[in-house]
Amino acid sequence: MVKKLFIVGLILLIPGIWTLFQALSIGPASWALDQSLFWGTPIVNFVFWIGLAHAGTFLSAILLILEVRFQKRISLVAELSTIAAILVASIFPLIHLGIVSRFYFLIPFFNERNIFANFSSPLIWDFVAIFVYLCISIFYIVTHLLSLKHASLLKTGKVLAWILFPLVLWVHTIVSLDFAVTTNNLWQGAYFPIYFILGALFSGLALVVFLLEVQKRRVRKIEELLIAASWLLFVFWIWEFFQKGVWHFEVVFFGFVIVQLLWIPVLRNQKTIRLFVSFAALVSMWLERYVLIVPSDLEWLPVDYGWFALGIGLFLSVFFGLYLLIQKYNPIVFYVSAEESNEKYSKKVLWGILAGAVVFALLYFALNYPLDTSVPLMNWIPVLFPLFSLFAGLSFFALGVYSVVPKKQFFLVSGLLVLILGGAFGAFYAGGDTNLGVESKIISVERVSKNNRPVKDLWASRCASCHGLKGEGNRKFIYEFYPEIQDLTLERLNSQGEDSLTQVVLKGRAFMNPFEGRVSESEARALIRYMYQLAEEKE
Amino acid sequence: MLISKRTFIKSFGALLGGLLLFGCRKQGEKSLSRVRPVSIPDIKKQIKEAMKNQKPLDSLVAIPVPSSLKAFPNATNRFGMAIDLDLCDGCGECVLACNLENNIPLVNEYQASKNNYMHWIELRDQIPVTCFHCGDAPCEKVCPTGAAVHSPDGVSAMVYARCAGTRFCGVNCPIKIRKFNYVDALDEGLQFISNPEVPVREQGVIEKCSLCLHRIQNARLKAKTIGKEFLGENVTTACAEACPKGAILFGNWLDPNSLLYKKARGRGVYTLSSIAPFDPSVVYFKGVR
Repeated sequence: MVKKLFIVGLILLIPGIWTLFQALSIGPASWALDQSLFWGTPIVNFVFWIGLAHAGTFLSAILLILEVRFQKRISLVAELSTIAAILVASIFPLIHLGIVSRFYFLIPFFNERNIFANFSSPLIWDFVAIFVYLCISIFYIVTHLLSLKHASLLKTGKVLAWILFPLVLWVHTIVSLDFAVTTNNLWQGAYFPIYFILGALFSGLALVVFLLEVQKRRVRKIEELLIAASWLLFVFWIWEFFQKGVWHFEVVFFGFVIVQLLWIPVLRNQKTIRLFVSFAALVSMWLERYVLIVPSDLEWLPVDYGWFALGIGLFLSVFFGLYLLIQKYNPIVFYVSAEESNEKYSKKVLWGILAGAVVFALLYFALNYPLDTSVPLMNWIPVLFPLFSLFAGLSFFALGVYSVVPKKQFFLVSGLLVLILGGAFGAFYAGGDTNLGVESKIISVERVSKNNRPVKDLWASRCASCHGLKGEGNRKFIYEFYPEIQDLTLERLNSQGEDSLTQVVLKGRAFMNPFEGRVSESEARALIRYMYQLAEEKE
Repeated sequence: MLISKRTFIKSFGALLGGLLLFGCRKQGEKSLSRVRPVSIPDIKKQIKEAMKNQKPLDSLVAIPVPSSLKAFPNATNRFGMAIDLDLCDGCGECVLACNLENNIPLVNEYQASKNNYMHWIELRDQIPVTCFHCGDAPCEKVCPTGAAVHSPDGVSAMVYARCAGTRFCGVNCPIKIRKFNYVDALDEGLQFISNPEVPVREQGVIEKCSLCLHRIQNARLKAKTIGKEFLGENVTTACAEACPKGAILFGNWLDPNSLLYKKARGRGVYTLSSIAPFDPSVVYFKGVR
């Protein structure tokens, strides 16, 4: 069954990858959007998959803290589903961007140009929260797997669970704030965070029912939780109806009415019914996000359908791929758990890491704050809190792993990781060319040689803002920012020569910006020839 | 199983590789053949089509005359416009003038069929609607990269080079007047470059009315050169210039000598009900107070 589903996932990935290509090459026009609906199906899928991710954490971390018995039987499946679902979820907002290569603009990290992300925007909070959530989820599952061999890691797992507990509620709160802070009446309401968290929990429980069924197992408690969650959601749907007059029959039917089948023992003991209910719950949660985000009726394009293949295919192949991998090395891992351990960290360690996390968060704050004083202190918390968690989680994880893994391996791997991460941070610090990925497609060289008009346009769009339309210099701009530019004379052009001037256009000089990547070499040459022409006209 | 594992992996790999190759194929030639010159009649045609299917308009509500901004209490300028609804007859000349001034691209047939025009000024129920340059703009609050920012002059500006295209601003705009560049106009030959002072926007960024920022900057430079404080004299927007009835006024809400300020005296000042909470700089004049 597991292998079959893995293959199904791989097969679904074929149309999924086609969708990805289509979406990246055409851009947002490839799925259903218009000039009044800017968020479409990728955002629906993002909220859906990130919701699925949360239930995994809920079922393993939060139930571990609450010392619920059945946690042990489902925790690894739940954690694996979290990792796979976050991976799927994080793809959608990236594709959604108008210019995908500029995604790093959303990272609130220091950069060379002192341009910072807007800390008032929920998307920044989103980015940080989800990144940290993914990191700590990975730490958590690795700790879990290692703790089967080394019982001393159980205490690390517990601490990580404590870190994940608020974080998981936090992440979906932030996702709900993406909607709740807007001016759209249908998206407003103080109840949105709880509503979203409940929705996430509900869909995640349904997913776990399915995943356990794949393993030919069943946990009755989860079915009961599913019913409870459906009633709570039903209350919210009624609340929405009275508040905003919104009522979606299909959502309530799939999400509430069908789930009630689980009350009847004859029905719930049948595998088909249980699977049907879990799929109905997933469908209803998808529909709920869809009717929330896409209120108008737009005609779907192939890419809109393709997201299903991409999401489900990637999830199945990642989840069952990892599952098979883990099973290969440790076949019984999904059915057993390490014995109890009451070991705890010494107070010194706890306080030390807490203090370190505070110092880390404050350092980040201090490095950014003076540059962006207009942002109220309140808006920093959504960025500082996940960073605080990341530092604490990373410290505990490193500490735990250090105690069980051979020292040489530990330093080798962590050294490599530091190198890679350092490189990535360095790249973000330096930033890229803002025209990255956008080739210069303004004028082809053939047209330049035949007709003078296109190179004139190129000059007008690239050069005239400083050098002026006729090469006389744009006083408005230069006056404020740069020293006087050189007079455009034939004499001066001849003294420089065409080749070296072409290099100046491409590589820049003193106050002249480099245009490499924005104009091709032949275009640069055409521009220089155009300069000759301008100089002739002048004389 | 019908096929062996090895066969499956082989065929799967081959299919994936084939798709990859297909995705990486060269597409350069296609774009050139599509390039065609854009003419003013093309633009006029799209404006006419847009005017045929107008979106509905919110109700108008009375607001006080705009005063200094909360964010910049000491600023001497707050540029804005007023559209006199008693004079306006919805002819659409302002839309054409705006298109030519700001190099607004045409849209392809598919987008046109969905009524997704790029026009910065739209007619809704025969009333021109453009960005209201809200003093407390909702779009600027949610922009993650800071591409939508307010200038101390009261202009809600767009930094195109900073825009990553999350479209959060468009979502948060109550009147949905922000326009997203769905098509690559340069590539598809839909770009009409008539004004070199305004940059051409690339595919994937949001754009909207800039209150003819380039004109304001030109006038500011002139004023600076002769050493005068710039209060928005000798400058007007393209739409105001083009209006045959003189229904659109550009000016400085904080300068008592500005024509806009003077004309607002005694007039009823209105805005759309959904925009009213955000302190707009562009307002409607209607009747007397």
